[in-house]
Amino acid sequence: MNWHFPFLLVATVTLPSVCLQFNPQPLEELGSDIGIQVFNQIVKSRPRDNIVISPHGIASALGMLQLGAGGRTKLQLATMMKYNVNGLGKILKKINKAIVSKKNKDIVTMANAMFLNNGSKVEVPFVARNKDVFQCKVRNLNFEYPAAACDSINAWVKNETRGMIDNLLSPDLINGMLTRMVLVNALYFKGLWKSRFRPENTKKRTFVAADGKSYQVPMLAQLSLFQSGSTSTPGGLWYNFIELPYHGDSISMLIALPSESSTPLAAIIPHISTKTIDSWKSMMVPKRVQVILPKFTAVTQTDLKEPLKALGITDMFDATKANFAKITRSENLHVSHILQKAKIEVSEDGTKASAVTAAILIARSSPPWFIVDRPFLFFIRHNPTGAFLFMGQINKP
Amino acid sequence: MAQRAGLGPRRLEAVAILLLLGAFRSGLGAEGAEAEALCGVASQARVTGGSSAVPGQWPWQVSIVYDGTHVCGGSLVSKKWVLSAAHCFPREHHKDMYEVRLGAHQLDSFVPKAEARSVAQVLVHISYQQEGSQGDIALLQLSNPVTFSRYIRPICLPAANASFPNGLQCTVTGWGHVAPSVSLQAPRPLQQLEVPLISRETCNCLYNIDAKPSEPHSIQQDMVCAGYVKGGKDACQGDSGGPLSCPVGGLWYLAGIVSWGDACGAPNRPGVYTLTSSYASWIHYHVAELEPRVVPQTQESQPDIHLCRSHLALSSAPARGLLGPILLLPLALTLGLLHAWRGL
Repeated sequence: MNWHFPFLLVATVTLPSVCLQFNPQPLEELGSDIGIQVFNQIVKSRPRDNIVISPHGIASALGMLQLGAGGRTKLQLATMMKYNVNGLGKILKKINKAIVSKKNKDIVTMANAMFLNNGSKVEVPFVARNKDVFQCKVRNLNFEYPAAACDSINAWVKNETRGMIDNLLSPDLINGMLTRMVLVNALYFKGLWKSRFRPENTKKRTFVAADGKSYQVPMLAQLSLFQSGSTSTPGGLWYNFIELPYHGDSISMLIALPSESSTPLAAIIPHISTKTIDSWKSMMVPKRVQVILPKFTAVTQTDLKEPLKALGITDMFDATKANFAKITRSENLHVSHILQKAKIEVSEDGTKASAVTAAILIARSSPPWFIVDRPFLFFIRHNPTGAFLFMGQINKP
Repeated sequence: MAQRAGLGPRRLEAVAILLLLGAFRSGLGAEGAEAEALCGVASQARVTGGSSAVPGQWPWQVSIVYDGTHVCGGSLVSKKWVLSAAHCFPREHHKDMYEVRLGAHQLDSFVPKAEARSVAQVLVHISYQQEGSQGDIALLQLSNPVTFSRYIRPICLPAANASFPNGLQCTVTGWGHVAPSVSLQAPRPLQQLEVPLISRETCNCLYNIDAKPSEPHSIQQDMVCAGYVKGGKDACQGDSGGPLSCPVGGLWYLAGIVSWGDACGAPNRPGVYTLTSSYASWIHYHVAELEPRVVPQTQESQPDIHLCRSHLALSSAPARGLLGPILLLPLALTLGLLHAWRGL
């Protein structure tokens, strides 16, 4: 996939001027950065919660909206996203296909849908483009009956995520009189580690949560060959990172952990960007490392409206300013909610260690430890495209 | 083992003379001269089973620290030299970041008798390539010599022809993990474990039980095993380089150096040690003042292959009996199918 990126530069030239002022960069960096920025906004108000979001899901949702937007509404979207979906449809489509490809051993389930109020006449090109680029389904619902509308949306999500995500919406989010559109992006991820953690090595260990209290939580343990490294923020705060690959070699989890337990996560988060994370790649070296990682499940539902507004995407939420003429010309639409629910499970499950790693892991010198026993950041990255499927902070597993 | 049969009367004579010399020297040490050149003597009686040692019980045990972290064990063999494992010194590590701690008991508490030395020289055996390969041995020269004391004393190096009998109860010591992925708890007192020696042949046989073809492990000529067929007690990560101390004729000899093992304490996977005696000439070549000592033959070595055979007889044979017909059945079916297909 990486080899397609140079073509992007050519494509960029044909884009409207808003895009030209940006340095040409690999596509998914552009796409994912908005997700990371949204994350930074979310954690500002919830520094001590567990947060899981999908940067790629956010980029997809905004991309879908961009296809239907016009005027300033579109300009705001394209400016923040740093690309124009219209010009990059083919590449985005390829990326989306690669992410849910069978090669990943089916560990990513992504479902995008737009629910529009009955009677809104939708433009055919908009539906077709969304289906093509984002595999997004556009459906009609009667929002006059919020409970029923809510039930059908929830049923759809549950079905699309194989029962893993339910109760996405509550009826009070739908205003029978005003709601015209609900955009839903649901993701489920359960990774199989490339090198599994042996269940007999899982033990309760102490995790010092963000509240300063110690908790005994089950932690996975594995001595294996991992890529890891450490670096510091411009302010001189050091943190360590490690890459834990998933089965199939296309997706891996990256974990970032402040080196000093006195450094709060909030101190390194502003420094995290796609650029930073890409720079880790060049700093990582393969080492035999003793990894200790909490076993956890985290699920977060986030309303992305306020974080997006804080980033300058405001018009689409404003009934008087939103321009979605490319979705429908029969009435003036605005976005009432963008909701995302993301879930991640981290357990021992994985494939057995490959021959190469096992053969060199018999020596009995003491390996360096990578102990995740305090709040940490994680990123689940689809390496061929660079897309961040998930990222999050875990303050208490 | 086999070497014993090859010993002629002349060699035996030589052995006797050397032993006399040894006795003379130890006599000198006892009289005063600060236990000069005396090796393999510990002041405490030993305790069996996996447990915390007593301070001074294993005075040759050293901790090798890299960048402030204990990475391996080692054995003091003279005032200036420590023997450890090659894999404790990966190429990307810098010599200057190593430190040797001697006379330590609890790694997390300060002992006035403990000493620390930086490393002047690391000699890694040229044949060492990767984990599990031959030549997992290294000599460390301390920046400054140490003064022997009750807590800091060398262990005896066995001569090239030394042979320790199978089943000999030796002791492995170290500050390594107490179970896979479980580090030793603070204050990290030195741990000791009695382990019987297992011959190379038997060990190879054991490592072939339930072996994964993708993970071949073979016990090379320069290795020896020690531990338990049923597992449970073993050295582990962090013990590497440390001593496998064997008692013969009242002295302790460095029979092995902790090297590798499949996990730690797994059944049929005893710990594998570098056989120090096979490097006696290498040691002497690099450090002329280090003279390996002839180990007296006090006990005849008995074959120990039954340790592996008993497994084969007990569990493998009935399993095979069951597997036979099951395997044959699908084979027959396949043949039948092939036949039919050909007939068409």
